[in-house]
Amino acid sequence: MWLDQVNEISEIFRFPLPYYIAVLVPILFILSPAEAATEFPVYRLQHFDLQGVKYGSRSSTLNFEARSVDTRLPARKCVILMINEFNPSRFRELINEGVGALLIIIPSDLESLSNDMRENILDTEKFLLSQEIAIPVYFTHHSQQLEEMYTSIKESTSKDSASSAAQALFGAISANGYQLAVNGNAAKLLTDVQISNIQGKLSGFGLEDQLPTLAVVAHYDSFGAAPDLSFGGDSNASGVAALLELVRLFSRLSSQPGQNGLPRFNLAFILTGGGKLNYLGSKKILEDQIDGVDGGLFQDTIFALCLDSLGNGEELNVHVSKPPKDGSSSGIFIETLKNNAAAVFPDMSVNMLHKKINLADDFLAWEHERYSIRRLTAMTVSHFKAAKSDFQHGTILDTKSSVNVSILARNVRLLAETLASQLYNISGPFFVGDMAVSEEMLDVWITLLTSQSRSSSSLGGKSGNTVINMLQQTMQRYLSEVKVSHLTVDKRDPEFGFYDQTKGVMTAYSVKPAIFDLFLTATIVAYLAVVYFGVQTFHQLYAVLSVNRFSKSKSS
Amino acid sequence: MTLYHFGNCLALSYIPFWIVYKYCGLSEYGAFWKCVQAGGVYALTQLGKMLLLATFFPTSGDYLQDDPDNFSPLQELLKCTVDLIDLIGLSVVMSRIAGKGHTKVLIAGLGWAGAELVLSRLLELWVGARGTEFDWKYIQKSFEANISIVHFLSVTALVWLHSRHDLPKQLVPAVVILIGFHSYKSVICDMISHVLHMYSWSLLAFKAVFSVTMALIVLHIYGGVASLAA
Repeated sequence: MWLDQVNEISEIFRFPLPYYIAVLVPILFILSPAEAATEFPVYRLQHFDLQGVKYGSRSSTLNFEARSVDTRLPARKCVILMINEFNPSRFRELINEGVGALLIIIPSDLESLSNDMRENILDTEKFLLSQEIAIPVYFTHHSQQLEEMYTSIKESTSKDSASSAAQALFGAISANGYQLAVNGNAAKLLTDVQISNIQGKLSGFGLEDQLPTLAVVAHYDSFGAAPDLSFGGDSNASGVAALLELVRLFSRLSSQPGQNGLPRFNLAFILTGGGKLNYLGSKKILEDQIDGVDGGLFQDTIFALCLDSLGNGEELNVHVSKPPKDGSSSGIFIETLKNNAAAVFPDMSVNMLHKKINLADDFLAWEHERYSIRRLTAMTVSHFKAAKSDFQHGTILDTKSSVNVSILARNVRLLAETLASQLYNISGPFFVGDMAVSEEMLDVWITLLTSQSRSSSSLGGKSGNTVINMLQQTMQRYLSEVKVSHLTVDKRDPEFGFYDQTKGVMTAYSVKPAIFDLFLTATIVAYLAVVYFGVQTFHQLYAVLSVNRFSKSKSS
Repeated sequence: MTLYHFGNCLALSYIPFWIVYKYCGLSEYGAFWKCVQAGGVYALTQLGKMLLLATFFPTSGDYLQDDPDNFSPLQELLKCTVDLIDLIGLSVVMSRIAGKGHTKVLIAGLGWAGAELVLSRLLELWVGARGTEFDWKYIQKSFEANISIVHFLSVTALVWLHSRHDLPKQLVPAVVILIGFHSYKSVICDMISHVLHMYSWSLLAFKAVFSVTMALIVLHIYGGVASLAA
């Protein structure tokens, strides 16, 4: 009997078996490796606080079974869907029914999409970013493996709605499920974050403190549905590239002996952070310069010129909060810009657009409004006609390919000529021959800037960030008084807050439902019963075969 | 549920051993310890085989992979030739067991198959079947363990037949041929699956049919000789 055998074994080991089991099994459990399954990178939806409002997906870890979007029982499941299947009303339904998590598959190639698809993605992004979402929401790039998984999940989900109970049972047994898991720590608030501004100056001729200043501003950060997917080509790598090219051109111009030498203006160049977060960087720099002690930069500012999205479009729009008076320097600037455009690029239209600052709105429409609020004359140059509300122009679709470098070069040339004629008070052209705008430089900058995510949360770390260092070093080559200032989080009244776990690795295990295991047990029991009866009746079979043989061998 | 699945696999692979042990009369002899001894000889034999393989066939690590396209019949054939050492091991085991033909064959075969299961399949089951990921291959492995009972029992019967002096002369070639078939079973199965593109379930079914057919033939011969001897 069984017990006898156990005794036999325990005699062999001279030690009670249960002790061995009690010790061995837990050790084996701890030591046993887990079989890895399919793994793929995922990017989490934005997760940040701004001005006391919470945005985006608020949690990061998940371990749920996968379902397709039309499932009837989404509670504690991870719904996996293509981005064009996303629709807000279905999303709200899912949330109400207690869906566990969302995995959204975006096309692997974001550059060649149909217009419908682009619209879909933009709408989805806008919708997801406009609210606080309690569940984890992840994005991933489309791949063959994911496609297979998605199709199989879709098929098995359709079995959920089988007509009869037997069908449903059979469906449950034959179904192939997937368990999706993102491990790691729960997303937590980053404590050591900061938003950095980089400023530099090109001093004019004369007593530096008494000269008027002209400021050129561009924000360098990017924005999109997921921090690690936002590369911000047009908005605003194009603005940064344009600013850096202006820096290069004007530093060369003012060091040239033949021209009228130095202009009677100071030129200030400012790269601001947090541009997608309601222009927090500009806000900080204004507070420092106007309210602070050093006060120099904006003392005699004639106007601030903000560059935002210059890499595309046939037109250039100058946005102002207040129409400039005739004869004021900003008025002259806009006039000259129009004239230059008409003279050099007749196909191009330059418009001035006037929009009052809407103080009731949570978000400012353009960067110049930050300056206008502080009673500085300011304007934003952009190819966009209207500012989008909230997180304007920030989308994962805005990659390197959304910048047309020759259009950007044209815009830079136009701005440079206009600025120069304003500074030197003579008409150009200044930037021809070896002083011409370099498309190559612009292209290099755009490539460099769009090669990694520049979202505020990924740039926010204290440890010397490569992008900011790179920009600072470039400014230092051409400008004087280059300095980096940081906006840090106020502990008591935080203006912004970023969270970690912006990306992760999702593991997909192919699993069977619990009922399948029960079914398997039943099958195995039936099989074992057959084996049992086979062994029981074995002697009959043996008798038949051996008797047969016996008679033969006797006869032989 | 994954531990449960592991339990399923374990039940499928081990309970047939228990059934055979219990209902073929071995439990009445208290032959458990003898089965374990047979298993020990199995382990020693495998060690010897490994030494031999490592010494004389160190050419490539390719055959470690289950790549069905990377299949060289010659190498497999040589490897199976080394498996002939198993037969020596089996005859050693049987020479050490005192008893009737039936008991000898059953103890040696069962111990041999059981040791194979413990040493070469259990770890894989433990690591694999408990994972979150489901794969049919663990159920297939477990079922293969059942096939290997049949296989090793018939091999043992053949070795026993071969060691008999009262084996009728005209049966000797048949026994030798059958021993050859059994020893080269894995290479034959691999070859056929390679040619017919049979994998997973169909290969498993083929192995089952092959083993059972062989076993019936062996049983036919064995039955004759055993009853002659009786």
